[in-house]
Amino acid sequence: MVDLRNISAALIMTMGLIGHGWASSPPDVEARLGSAVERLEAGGQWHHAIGKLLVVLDDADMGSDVQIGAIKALVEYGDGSVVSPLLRIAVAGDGKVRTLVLESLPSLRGMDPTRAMADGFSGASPDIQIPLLAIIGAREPEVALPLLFEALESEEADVRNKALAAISGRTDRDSILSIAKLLNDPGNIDVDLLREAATDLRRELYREAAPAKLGFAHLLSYHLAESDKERGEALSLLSTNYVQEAIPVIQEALQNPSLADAAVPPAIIAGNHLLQLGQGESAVGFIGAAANAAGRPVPTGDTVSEAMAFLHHGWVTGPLRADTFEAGWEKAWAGEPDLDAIDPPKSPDLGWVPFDASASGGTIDLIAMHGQEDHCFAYAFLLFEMDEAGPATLRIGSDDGVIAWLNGEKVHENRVMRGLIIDNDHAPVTLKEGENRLLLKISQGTAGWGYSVRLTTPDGFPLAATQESVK
Amino acid sequence: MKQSPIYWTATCLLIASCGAVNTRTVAGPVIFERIHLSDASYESASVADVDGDGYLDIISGAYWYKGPDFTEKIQFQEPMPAGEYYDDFSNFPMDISGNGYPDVVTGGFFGGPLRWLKNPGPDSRELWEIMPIEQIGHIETTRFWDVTGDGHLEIVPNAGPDVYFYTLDRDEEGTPLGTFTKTMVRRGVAGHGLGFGDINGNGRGDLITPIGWLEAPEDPINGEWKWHQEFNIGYLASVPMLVHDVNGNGKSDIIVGNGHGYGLEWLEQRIENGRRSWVRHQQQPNRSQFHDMILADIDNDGQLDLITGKRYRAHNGMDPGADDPVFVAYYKINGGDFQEYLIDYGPADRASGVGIYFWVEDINGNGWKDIVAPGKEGLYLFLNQGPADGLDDE
Repeated sequence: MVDLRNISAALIMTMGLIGHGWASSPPDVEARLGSAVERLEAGGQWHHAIGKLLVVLDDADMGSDVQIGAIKALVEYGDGSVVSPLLRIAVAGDGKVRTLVLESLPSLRGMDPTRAMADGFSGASPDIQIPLLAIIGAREPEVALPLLFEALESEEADVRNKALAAISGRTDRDSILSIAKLLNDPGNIDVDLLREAATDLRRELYREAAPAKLGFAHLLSYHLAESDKERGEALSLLSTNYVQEAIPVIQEALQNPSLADAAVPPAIIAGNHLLQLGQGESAVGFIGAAANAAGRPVPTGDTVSEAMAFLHHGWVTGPLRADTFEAGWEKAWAGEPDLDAIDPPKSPDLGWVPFDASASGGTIDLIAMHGQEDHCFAYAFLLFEMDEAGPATLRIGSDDGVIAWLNGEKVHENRVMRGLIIDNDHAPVTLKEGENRLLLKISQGTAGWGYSVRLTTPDGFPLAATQESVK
Repeated sequence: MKQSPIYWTATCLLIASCGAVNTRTVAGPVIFERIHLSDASYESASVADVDGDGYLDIISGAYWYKGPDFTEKIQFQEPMPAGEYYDDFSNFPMDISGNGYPDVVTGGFFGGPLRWLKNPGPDSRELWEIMPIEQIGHIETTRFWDVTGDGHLEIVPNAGPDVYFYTLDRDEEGTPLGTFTKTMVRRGVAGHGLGFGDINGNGRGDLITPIGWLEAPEDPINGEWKWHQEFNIGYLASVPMLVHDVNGNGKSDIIVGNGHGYGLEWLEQRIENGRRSWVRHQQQPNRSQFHDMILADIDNDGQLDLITGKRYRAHNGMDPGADDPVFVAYYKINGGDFQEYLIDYGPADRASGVGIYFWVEDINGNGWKDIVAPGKEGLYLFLNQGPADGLDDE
C-alpha cells in the first residue's frame, strides 16, 4: 500500500495537501488516492490511474481532505473525462467543494475539457453556468461562441450578462461581429450593458493595435455611433484600416446622402480588395457605386479586367538564366533601362512573344507560355496610350518578384518569393500624354510564375489606357 | 466514441444497482512503465538489434541506445537541424548493405536526400556513412511496405505530388546489393498522407493518398496502377493512413488522423450496385496532430488496436490544438466505435506524444508490446506491464 505522505513533496505542494490531517475518509481510500497520484506522476498509466481517482472522488466523504485531494489531482492530471464527475460533485457538494471545483476547472486545458464543460453547461443551474461561461468564454471559438450565443438567449439576466461580458473579452472575428450584430438588434439584451461591452471590446482592439484589429474597432465605432458625424468619422478610419467585414456598412453608407462622401474611400478599397479575392463583378459594382457617389466616371468595359483597367497586350520573353539566380536580378538582358532600344518586333534575338491577356482576366501565366521552369527570369514589355499626363498608381501582381521601368525610369522593385495576387504591389508613377512604355522583369523561383498589371488613379479608381493588340 | 469504462465505473458507484461493476472487473486496460530516455527532440525512433548482441536497441535521431537497459547512447549520425526540427523523419532499420546488421533509412523535409546510414558493424563507434538514395526533397516522412509482395519491404516516401517507391536491389540469393530501383506509380495524386493495404480484397497491396487510392496491378513494378479518386480527406492526413477492416464486414476501411489539426476518423468502404463509396466516422474530434499511427495488439486480446498520439508542435505551435496536452493512447477498434485508453497525457514537460515516427514492439520479451515514443518533448519508452488487474494495490 502506498502512503500518500511518501509522494514527492513537489506534488504534494502542487495538490495543496500539506497540513491536512487525512482523518475524515477510510484509510483504504486515502491509500487509493496516494496510489493513483503516484501512478500519474510516474506516467504511462493514465487511464487506469484516473479511473482510480474518479472512484476515490465518489468513495471519499463529501468535503473531506481526501476528496479535496482527489479533486486537485483530477484537475492537475485529467482530461475532458473528469469534467462531468467534477461538476456532479460541485452540484452535490457544499460551498467549499463547489468553489474548489469551479475555481480549479480552468486548469484543465485543451479542446477536450473545453467541450466537456460546454456539454455540461445546458443542464447546469445558473450558479454553475456563470463560472463555466467565464472559463469557456475565453477558450477555442468553435466551442465558446455557440455556447455564448446560447447563453445570450438565457432567461436568466445574470447568465446573459456574463455571456456578454465574456464575448466582450474576445477579439476574434466572430465574437466582434456578434457584438456588432447585437448593437443593431439587441433583442432582450440590456442595451446599456451591450454598449458597455462593445466599448470594452473596442478598447481592447485598439490596445492590440494590429491593422485588422483596428479595422474591427472602427467597425464597432460605426455601430456604436449615435450620429452621422460619428459614423462618417468611423468610415474615414475604415479607409485607413479596412476590414472586409465592413462591406455591409460601407454599402449602407453609400446609399445615405449624408454619409456617401465619407463612404467613398473605404468603398474604393473594398472594391479593389474584392478584385483581389476574385470577385470581379462585385468589385466593378462597388467601384461603380463609389464613382457615382464621388461624381467620377463610372468604369466601363466588356469584361471585368477591362473595366478595372488591366493592361492586356504586350510581349514577353524568357526563360532567361544568369550564372546564379541572384545574379539574374542584376543582368540587363533587355538593355534596360534604355527602353527606346526595346522594339520587340525588331528584336528577334530575345524571342519576344506577343500576348493578349483579355481572356485570362488580365493575368499572364508564364508557365503556360514557357513551361515549368525554375530559377530564371522573364520580361514583359507593354505599350499604352494616355489621353492626358498625370499621376497614377501602377498596381502589379507578380509571382515571384518584379522590377518595373516606366518610360526608362525604374519605378518599382520587389525581390521576393510569393504567389501572384492581383495588386500585390502599388507603385506611384507619373504617366505621359500619348505613348508610355512599361518593362517588367519577373523572377521565377519554383512553382507558379506570372504577373498582372493595371492602372488606377492615385485614389484607387481604375484609370483606362488605350492599347493596341499586338498578336 | 464509446464512453470509456472510467465514466461507467464512476457513475455506477453512485447507483446501488450497479454495485457489481468496478474497475477491477473491467476487462483489460494495460498499463505501462514510462522511462524517460532522453530530452533529445528528434521526432523519429525505431527498434532493432543494432550491434547484433541479441538485445534490441532503440534508434532515435543522432543516437542508438544500447539494450537491454538503454542507458548507453552511441551517436551514429548528425541529422541536419532546421529550426525546431531535424531533417530526420524516419529511422527505419533495414539491412541494405547485406552485412547482416541493420542500416537506418531516413529523410526529411528540409533538403537532405532520402538516404540510408550504413551500419559499420558492432565494433565501430564512428559516424555511419551516409548513402544517398535520391535527392527528392520535402519528405514528410517515409514508410516501409511490401509493395511488390515479394516478402521484402519497399521504401515509400511521402514527398511531393507523386506516388513512387524504391525497391532494394538483390542478387539471385536475395542478398541486398545496397542500391535501389525507383518505380513511379503515378504523378500528381499524392499529398500529406499516405497508406498501404488491400482495398479491394484481391490480395494485393494498394496505395492510398488523401484523395483516392491506387489499385495495384499484378506486376506492381511494370504494370499500370489504376487510379480511383473516391474521396477527399480535406486536411493534412496522417502518415500512414491505415487500411483495416474496422467494422468486420469483410471490406477494408481506412483509418485517418489529422496530422496537423483536430480529428481521428475512419472511412467505411461501402459497395452498392457495384459502386464503391466511403462514409466518414469521426471518432476523436477533441485531440489533435495524429501524425503517426500503428495497428498492433497492445493488450493481447487477439484484436488489433490503434496506437497513436500527438506529434507535439508538428508545425512549431501553429496547428490547431498545438497548446493542448500531449498524449499517447491506444484505441480499441470496437467495430468502429473507438474506445480510447490514454496511456500518457499532460503538458509536454511531463508527458509524451509519439512524434512523427514511433515504434511498437515487445522490446523486453515479456510478451507485451512496448512503445518507443520520440518527439520534441523527448524520447520515452513505455514498457507494457499487461493489465492492471491483480496489482497489489488494486
